[in-house]
Amino acid sequence: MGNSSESLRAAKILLVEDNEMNRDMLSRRLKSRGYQVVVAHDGGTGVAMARDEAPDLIVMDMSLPVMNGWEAARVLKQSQATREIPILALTAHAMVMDREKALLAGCDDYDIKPIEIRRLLSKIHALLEGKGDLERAHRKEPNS
Amino acid sequence: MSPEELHSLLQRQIQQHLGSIAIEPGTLRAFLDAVSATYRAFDADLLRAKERAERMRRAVEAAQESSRATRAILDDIGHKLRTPLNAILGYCEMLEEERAKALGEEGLQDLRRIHLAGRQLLEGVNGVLDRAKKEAP
Repeated sequence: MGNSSESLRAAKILLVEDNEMNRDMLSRRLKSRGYQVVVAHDGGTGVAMARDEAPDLIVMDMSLPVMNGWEAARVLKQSQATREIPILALTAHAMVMDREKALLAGCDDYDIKPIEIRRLLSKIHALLEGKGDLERAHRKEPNS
Repeated sequence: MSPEELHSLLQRQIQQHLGSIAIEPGTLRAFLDAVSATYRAFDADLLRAKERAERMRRAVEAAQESSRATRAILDDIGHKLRTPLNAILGYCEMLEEERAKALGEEGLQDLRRIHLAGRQLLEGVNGVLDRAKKEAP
């Protein structure tokens, strides 16, 4: 990440992840890079927190309890208050259908788990910067 | 209509149209019995064919359901293995990034071994599950 990222560093990220260790690990790694991080444990709470916290970006696992990530993404993209917030979906490796489903549900980009922090950060950075085209660009990358 | 009624009806019709051609009642009865037996056999064949089609449809459905169940189990296994692996790899990377000094050279080397083993395990899991999915019915 170059100097242009400095202005983005205070960006607030809502991390929606049900696994305690992964939530702790990823939120700490994002915080150590200067992001503000708020966390939710399930899809329902994620939707509520997206409204209350107005984050700049949502990083959301797709297999979540209460309301799964695809459903939460649909709800967020249908709501006036939250539709502009970019959503980065996290899906398991090898589940190609899950990724396609994430984009269909309205997610702006996706990354696979286990996460590769540099790739994830570049996607976060791109979405925060204004973004849009990035999801299409990533889809063309054979390794993403 | 009973065979007897049908017999006399046909007899009357034939006589009306063709005049007084005498038809042996026994011949006509045999003809009607044969027609009726043919229809019954046809019905039985049709029923058997329908039952066969239904059995095949059920077998296809059962195979599809079993295939779906196998894939769902493989997805679940993948998720259950990758979730803790994600944490193992992530914490290793985090320690290397943030605690390198405290760990010292030897500690760092051990940490990298844990990380490498985790990656190998991940690749193994991905490979086995990908193969299982491809070979699933």
